[in-house]
Amino acid sequence: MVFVGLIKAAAAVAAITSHGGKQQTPQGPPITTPPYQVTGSQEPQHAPSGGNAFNPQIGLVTDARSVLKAATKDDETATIHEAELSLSADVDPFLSAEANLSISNEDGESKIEAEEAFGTYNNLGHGLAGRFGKFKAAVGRANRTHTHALAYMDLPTVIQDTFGEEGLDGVGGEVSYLFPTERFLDVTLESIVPEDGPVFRNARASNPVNLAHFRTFFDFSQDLSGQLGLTVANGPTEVNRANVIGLDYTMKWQPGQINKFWQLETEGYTADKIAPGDRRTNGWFAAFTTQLTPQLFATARLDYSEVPGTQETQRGWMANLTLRPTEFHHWRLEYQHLNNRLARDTNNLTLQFVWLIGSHPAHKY
Amino acid sequence: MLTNLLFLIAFGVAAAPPKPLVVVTTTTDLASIAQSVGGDHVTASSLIVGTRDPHRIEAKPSYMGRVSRADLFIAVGLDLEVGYENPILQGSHNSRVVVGAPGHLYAADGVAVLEKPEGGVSRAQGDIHPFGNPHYWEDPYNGRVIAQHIADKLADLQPANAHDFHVNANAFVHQIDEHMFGAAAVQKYGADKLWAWQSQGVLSQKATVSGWAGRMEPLRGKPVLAYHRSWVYFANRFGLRIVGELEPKPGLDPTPGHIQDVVNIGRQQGVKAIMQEPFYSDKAARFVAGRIGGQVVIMPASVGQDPGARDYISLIDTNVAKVAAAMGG
Repeated sequence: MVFVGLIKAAAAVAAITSHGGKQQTPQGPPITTPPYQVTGSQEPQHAPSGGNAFNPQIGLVTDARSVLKAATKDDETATIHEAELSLSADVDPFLSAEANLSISNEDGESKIEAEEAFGTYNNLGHGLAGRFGKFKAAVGRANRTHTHALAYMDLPTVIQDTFGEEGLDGVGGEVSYLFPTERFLDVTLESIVPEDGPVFRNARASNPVNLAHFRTFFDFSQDLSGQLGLTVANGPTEVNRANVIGLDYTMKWQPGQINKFWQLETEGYTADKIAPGDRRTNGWFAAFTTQLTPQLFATARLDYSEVPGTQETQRGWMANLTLRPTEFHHWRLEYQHLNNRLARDTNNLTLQFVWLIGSHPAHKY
Repeated sequence: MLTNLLFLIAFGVAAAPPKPLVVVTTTTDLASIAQSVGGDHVTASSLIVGTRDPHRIEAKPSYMGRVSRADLFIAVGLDLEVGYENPILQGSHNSRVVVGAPGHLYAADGVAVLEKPEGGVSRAQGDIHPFGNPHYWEDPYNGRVIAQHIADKLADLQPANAHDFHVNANAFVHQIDEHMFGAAAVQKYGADKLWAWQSQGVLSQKATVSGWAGRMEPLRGKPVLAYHRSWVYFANRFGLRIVGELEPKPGLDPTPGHIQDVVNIGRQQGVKAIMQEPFYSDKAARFVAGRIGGQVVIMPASVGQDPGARDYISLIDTNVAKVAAAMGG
């Protein structure tokens, strides 16, 4: 897959180079332009600013949390859950790069890791793009959404139970293809080596997790749209190669008048062949978000997850209120109830404060 | 017979007109101007349609699909589309229209930009644009500049029709001139002189005009309020003084304290009109209007946001008519 990407990259170099020469333009009749300007500046809008012109865009997202109520007093902590430093820039005319460095708190210890660090060939020609490095896998929709951009504090239970607390990510390569159809349709093929998770374990470069994600999009009206995705993944376990199949669907209503919005998102996964004799496990979540006032949002989510490789089943729900004065910071109060058939219920009430400084790449649908 | 057929095929291929260029713009205004300039050689459409705030658009995958088929992508620029342009271009996988490629155009290039921040910028100033106010298309003079840019770009992309593009752009510019000053004045004085006098604020002393300028000249120097900083170019062109904005800072909703300040300013200055886009709540504006004895003027910020704003010319037409009617012009 890496070699395919490199070949396409070479093709893209050739394609872009062929556009380099400016063609001669026949002169049309001159357009009269008055010899004056209104007040204002006509400097180029993207004028370079000295030696920093090529520095990457830098942003820092900080996620502070205070657990107000938990099963034990020890869990009622106040921490900087995560600070995410993001850098992004074009490497050259062909490649752009992005890195998200996560500084997180784990059991009282600060940990710094490259959550993502990848280069993207956005235009390999013929509708193809390629990505190489460490990145969040194209599994469903929530898995690839950065935590601070989710409508809830943490990934849904089924994603955590299937792929791990942080979802599925890994080092590898990806090629995506946008079909030349009237309706949006794309497919992403990935081959990655993730760290050990609940299902995929012992992955190596010679024995990676392979997956495909198909996505289509519907504009039902100017205000209402939906996205449907299918994920098929196959990767190593302790003793086998397991299959995970998932469906994701997101629907949004965004009318022209601002301050009105709702969103429905749901994903379901089934996993099997984790180990001989293991049951096929299923899980899903459904979340609904609505805008109550210009700055106040409410989200409710239902969770169901048969934990892969075990006999456990988790059922839960969560509800939160988010106060978002601007797109650059929010306060969230979230209550989560989780019922585990083999363990005691957990009920958490958490206050979250997220703020963003600097520039930050725009989020996709 | 066979020779004739081959000749016909060869001749036919050689003489076949170039395929119409597919132009995708972010806003309806740019699509309207691009279609006027491109004529039959272009099919122009915009990503944003209807009554939408161009600051708050989401990079929908369907936008990426449309841009993937584009020969030319035109954006307003000045960071108006900062929240969605890059994801759309990246997701389109179309190397012809990425920033810097021949098929990409920022219509703002060459426009006299207003409200360009001096010194550093901070988000404490609200949702400001570091490169200046991006709502420049509200000034009809800038409509001329945009048309010229688009003609040049289309001519680069399709040299065989360069002459047509420039003829169309000239006709479009002439249309704006006639709507601005009236055909008789344009014929008598020439458009260049009229624009110069209008910019210097001496138009009424130098010429008798009709059109947009004819309606707005009597309002020169009069105070107005605005909801957002969208009308700076419109006001600058017609000599209106924006003495306050309902947003305490760009992008922030009105607060009670700020609304009271605006009411005080409105009363002191004798404001008669509050200019507002249709996609914001008009609650605060109506409250202020009631206190100062003025009118809320809901103005289309873009083509398609009012039944009268069918294209770029009628957009300006509609806004001039609404403001003039509210202010007694």
